[in-house]
Amino acid sequence: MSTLQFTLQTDRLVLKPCETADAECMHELLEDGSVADVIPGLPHPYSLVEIRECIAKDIELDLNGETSHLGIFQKETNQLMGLLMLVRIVKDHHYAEVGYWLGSDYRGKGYMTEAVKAAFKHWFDQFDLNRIVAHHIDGNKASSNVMQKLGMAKEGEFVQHIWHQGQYRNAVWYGLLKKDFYAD
Amino acid sequence: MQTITEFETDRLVIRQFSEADAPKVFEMLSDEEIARNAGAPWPYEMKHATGWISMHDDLFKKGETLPYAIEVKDTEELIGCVSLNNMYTPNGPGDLGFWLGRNYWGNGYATEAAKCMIEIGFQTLGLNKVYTFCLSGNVGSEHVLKKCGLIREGVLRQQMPRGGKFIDMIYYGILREEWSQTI
Repeated sequence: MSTLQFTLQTDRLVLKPCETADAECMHELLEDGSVADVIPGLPHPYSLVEIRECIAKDIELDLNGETSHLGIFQKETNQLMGLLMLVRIVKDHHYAEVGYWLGSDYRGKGYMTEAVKAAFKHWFDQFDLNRIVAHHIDGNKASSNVMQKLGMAKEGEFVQHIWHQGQYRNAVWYGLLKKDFYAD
Repeated sequence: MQTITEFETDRLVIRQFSEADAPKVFEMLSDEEIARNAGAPWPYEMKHATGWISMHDDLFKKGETLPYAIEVKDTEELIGCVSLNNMYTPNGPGDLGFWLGRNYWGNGYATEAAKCMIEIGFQTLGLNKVYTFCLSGNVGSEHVLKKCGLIREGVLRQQMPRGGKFIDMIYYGILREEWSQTI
């Protein structure tokens, strides 16, 4: 059995790796550009073909243990709502970075906090991590809310660190230590 | 991209490394604290020095990572390295790095070299920001960064494993507009 076939369940969600067959749904979720507006480096427009290629590439990276990508599915409807990913896994440093997004129809319902919390429990163990970090560009209140609700601490605001959509933007940096995650 | 490969300060020449520098690089990085802080392999071997220097022409062509040798003008002695790294996103910041052989600490050479590198970043490369991470407790490096006008912007907690513990990394940065007021 490949390592990609596992699923995580929460009250309302199923988290499992995406398949290339999810590309159409992901394309719809990303089409309004609202995700690309707040995630530097995410292409927009993003064609179906490119998304399918990206999912295939992510599956390969996941199989190599370099990253971990989880689709966020609504349990009741099996609808794909967004994506959650662990990247920049530095094994020697016991450190990794989390990233995430939801389609605009599914925001503001606490789904992301529910998803990330479940994924953290899994990732801290799976990758033997001491620390998980996350960052967002200044002004992304929804993302900072998720980080705060997860007990992540703001570690700095790195001024004009990111060039995004023709402007220098601050990178707001959060970190979570394993001991603090399990203390809650 | 076109990069000028040699610069001068009062006491130093900032130039590209050449093959002939390998033995001295090997000698200076055969010091565990320096090698680890420089992000070099440990234990450090001669082949690491020659391999690293052999990549430099490609690095300079690509322009994302620019490692320069620091040489004392009077003695023509190689004493360390100063670099701008991680310039792989358009309009992104440059990551300042530097190390000196232990015999050359405490003379202000690192500050002089780092100031020159920052100027290269802003003036020659047109960067908007220069930043770096400094290990908590590395008083020497932190002092250099402050003297170069970098400002502490945050602390990455327990970012770096070292000696069985996880050490904080401190983020320092300076914007072009801040730098231009210091010259």
